[in-house]
Amino acid sequence: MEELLDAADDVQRGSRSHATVSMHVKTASYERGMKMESWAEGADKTLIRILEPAKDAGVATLKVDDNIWNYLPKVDRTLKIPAGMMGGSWMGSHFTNDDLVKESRMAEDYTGTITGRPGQAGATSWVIELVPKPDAPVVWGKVEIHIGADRVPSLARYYDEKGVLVRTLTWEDVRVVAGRKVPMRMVLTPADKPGEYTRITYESLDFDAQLPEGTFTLQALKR
Amino acid sequence: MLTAMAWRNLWRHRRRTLITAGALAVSMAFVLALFTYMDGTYRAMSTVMVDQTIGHVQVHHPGFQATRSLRLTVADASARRAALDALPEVRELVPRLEGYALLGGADRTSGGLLLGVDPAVERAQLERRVVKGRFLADAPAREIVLGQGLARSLAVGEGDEVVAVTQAADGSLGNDLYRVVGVVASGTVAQDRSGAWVHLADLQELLVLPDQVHSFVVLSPSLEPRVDDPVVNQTLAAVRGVVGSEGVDVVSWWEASPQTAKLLGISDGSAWIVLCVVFGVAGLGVLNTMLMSVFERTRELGVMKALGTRPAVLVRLVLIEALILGLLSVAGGLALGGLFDLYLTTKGFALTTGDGDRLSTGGVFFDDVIRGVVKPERIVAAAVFLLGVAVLSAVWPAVRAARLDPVDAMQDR
Amino acid sequence: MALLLRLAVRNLVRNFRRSAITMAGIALGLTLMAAMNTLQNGSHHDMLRTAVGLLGGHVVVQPPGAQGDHQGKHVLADSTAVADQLRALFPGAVVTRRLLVEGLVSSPAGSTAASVRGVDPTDEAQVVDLDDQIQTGEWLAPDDTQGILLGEAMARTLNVGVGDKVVFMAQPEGDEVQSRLFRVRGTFRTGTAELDGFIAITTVAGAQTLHPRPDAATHVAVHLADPGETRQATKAARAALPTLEVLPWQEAIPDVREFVEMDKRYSDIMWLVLGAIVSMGVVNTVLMSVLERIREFGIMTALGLRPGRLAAMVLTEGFVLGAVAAAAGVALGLLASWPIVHWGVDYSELAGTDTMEAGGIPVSMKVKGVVDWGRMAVYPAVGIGFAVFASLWPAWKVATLEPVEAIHHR
Repeated sequence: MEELLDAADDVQRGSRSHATVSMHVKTASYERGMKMESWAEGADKTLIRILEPAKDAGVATLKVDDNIWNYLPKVDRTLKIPAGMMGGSWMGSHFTNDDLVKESRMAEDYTGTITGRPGQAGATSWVIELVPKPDAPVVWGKVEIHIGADRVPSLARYYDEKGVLVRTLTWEDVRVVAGRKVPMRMVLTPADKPGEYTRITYESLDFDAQLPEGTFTLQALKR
Repeated sequence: MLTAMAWRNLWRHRRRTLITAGALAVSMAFVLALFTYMDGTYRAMSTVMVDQTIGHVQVHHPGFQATRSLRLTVADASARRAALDALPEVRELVPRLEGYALLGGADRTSGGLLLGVDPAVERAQLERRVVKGRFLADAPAREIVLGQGLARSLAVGEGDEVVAVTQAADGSLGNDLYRVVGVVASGTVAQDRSGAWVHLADLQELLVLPDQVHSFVVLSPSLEPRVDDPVVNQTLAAVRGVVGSEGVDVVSWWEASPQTAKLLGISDGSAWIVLCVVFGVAGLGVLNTMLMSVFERTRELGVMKALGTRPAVLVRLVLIEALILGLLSVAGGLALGGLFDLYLTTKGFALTTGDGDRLSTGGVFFDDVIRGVVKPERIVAAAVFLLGVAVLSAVWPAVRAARLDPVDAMQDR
Repeated sequence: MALLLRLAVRNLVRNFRRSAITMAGIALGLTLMAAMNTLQNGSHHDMLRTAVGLLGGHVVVQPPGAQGDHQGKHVLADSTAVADQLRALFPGAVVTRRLLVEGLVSSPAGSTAASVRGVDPTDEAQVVDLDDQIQTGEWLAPDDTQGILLGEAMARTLNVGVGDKVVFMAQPEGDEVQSRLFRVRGTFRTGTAELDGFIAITTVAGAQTLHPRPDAATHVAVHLADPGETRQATKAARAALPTLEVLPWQEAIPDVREFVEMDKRYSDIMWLVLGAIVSMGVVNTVLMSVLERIREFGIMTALGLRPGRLAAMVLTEGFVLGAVAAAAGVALGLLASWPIVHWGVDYSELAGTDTMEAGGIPVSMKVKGVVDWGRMAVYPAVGIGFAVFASLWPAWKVATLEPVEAIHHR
């Protein structure tokens, strides 16, 4: 089972990856689209630079381990996000700064039980129920994740401790990239706000990219 | 006829009359001074807590008060503003926009509340509180003024740059650089620690809320708006007439902030208690003085009775004397009290701690110097009270003297 | 002396009604002052007690430079050792540790900025009322490193209750972000919005899991059995812990004490003014009594009695007047104070709230009086002083009598 979880975690990651992504956010108050470029090394280092729209172009976010910095080209300043603001949404989406940081490895923080297998009652996926380990610093009470027989996750439901569904994450549009099956689209839907969602689409994805030295440094943020 | 006699009587015992009247007059003067002091304190509190923060009447989006959500705004701000400004019932109109942001100095960051204001309008209140530099310029120029506590947290001063980052209304990342032009010792504890003022236009741009405000704060002509003040209600009606009720709520300050109303109520309440005590003590003094004054004269009254004056007339005479005495005292009290009041209203009195830090209560800082406030109703109340006690306290001894057997009275010791 | 007193008393009794009325005025005034003072003093006591409790104790031990640092960046290590040292030094006192950490508390419903206060639950309960203000759940157990208590307002914002989990994230030394899981053991309500929406309580050990320094604490406080010993205790602590900053509470939280001082000052001024008003009556009385005896005095002077002695007698009359009235006033005042001390006065209905903020801390609207013995002694003394002062002019008149004129006086 660990294998499955790790595979799910890594589905869009390589040891070094480079991607262009578009994000579409719809909330009750606004709807916007953004285009960005991202680089990642493992799960610990990520650099994201906004390309479009013009207002936000050049804004960059650097994550190294548990820290996040934002570079704002308009004022030419780099700001570290303090703990008090980690709850804030990232770039207006339904993902929080914290989500970015806590791309925690499911196996590390959760104990899983397989509650469904492919073939059982007509299902095509594994269904794993993840319960956080007693000391794990995660707010969820339970996460239910559906992983296909091809090791590609399709659905994750996040519940609070009372069993109420809080949000749903789906992976869609599975294609083959560099010999691997990769879902090119993720949609995050909050349960209490019908009609709202954040959709992330990979326009291009390159695993094992050549990343220059010092990509994940504060200086790199500014470039 | 009786009055003339009363008057003559009083002057026959000039010394006693003057001493008694003097004592009463001084008492009244002190009472007046105390009134002036307490009214001054109340006005100071009410000004800061009402006028300068929530105003008398507020116009805002119906959901805004509860959630203070960014997007719940009042649209067509400039048009509405022009219409409201034109109303005679509106003494001052203050547009306000606010947004929580991450503020960053050279090396420190802190959360803060950005307040978008029109400097031309808010200058009057806030300029006095500027402790370093100056307040914002009338035209938008990306200037920022910080509350004292915030400036300290960010370790910035005049001339430094501060970056503000926030979630704009359209979901984008609002960010901009501002230059610190001043530091303010604000009126409320909260504003001091996390308040930052910028030009309304600058904030509208940062938050992507063009021509919108979160509230219009309206000041009515009333100087001291108590709960259910009729002047405020008039302004309320006038504003409603202009702004309509679509998409906006128009509320009085006591509806907008019941806690403030309560707080002021307590302050008022405790002032009343003090007043009662003061009146009680002063009244006792007057009673005392008058009682004795008349008792002293039992002998003399006995003589008059022996000479044929009827008891009822005697009592009336004494009471008229008491009245005249009372009037003299009131005159004296007004004169002396007037002097005290003059001092209190011009020089005022200070309310600071030993090392000059300002004190707060109910989240509000007191001004450095509070000026006394003189209210005609108070003067009338004090005068009436004094007269009343003076005359009433003469009743018992007068009646007693009138009833006594003249011989007993003359021997009264 | 004794003769003077006897004479004075006899003179006063001669016109008993007048003396009685005057004394009644003074006495009643004093009674009112005493009662109100007891009430106000009770309120001040409560404020100071709350403030000292919030601070942790009368003597505060913190790392150098910590004063004025609201962000909690100054922290001392090996706090248990420091606390034990202080316990040995002050056997009758309660020693508490506090570790304050700022950060973010999150639940599935959302997150809110919060200030976490790590305390030693058993010690803390002796020093602060918070354990009585628990609304749901219960106070923390000493070894509970995962328990957290939330202010009512915060619990509501996060939509959590007893037994639910929250994640607290902080950057204690400015660099590393730490996250830890906590379970809600209870909620509390103090009545002040700031505390209830912004503060959360854990054990010191619980808060220390977020801090890189070993056995960290923001400060260690000594809560003395007798607050009067604060100065000596501060000196002793300073000698024992030379590397740390040791402050008496008056310096650690000057705002509250100054507010109280100012409040007292203004009351004193007001009572002084009222005293002056009352003494006007005394002047009247004494003057009257002198005036009506002027012939008598004239005769006595003519017969050889020195005017000085007469003046002394007048002053003594004033003194006796004041003394008796003051005694009665204080006695009545104490009597009136008793119900105020015993049952207290409840303003909360009038105020519409249980507590109000003043000088930066919550003040209870239910006030139990506390007798201010100092002022109970001073006020009557001042009262007597006023009475004597009011007799000065009449005494002077007597001393400068012209016997012949006096005898012919009408």
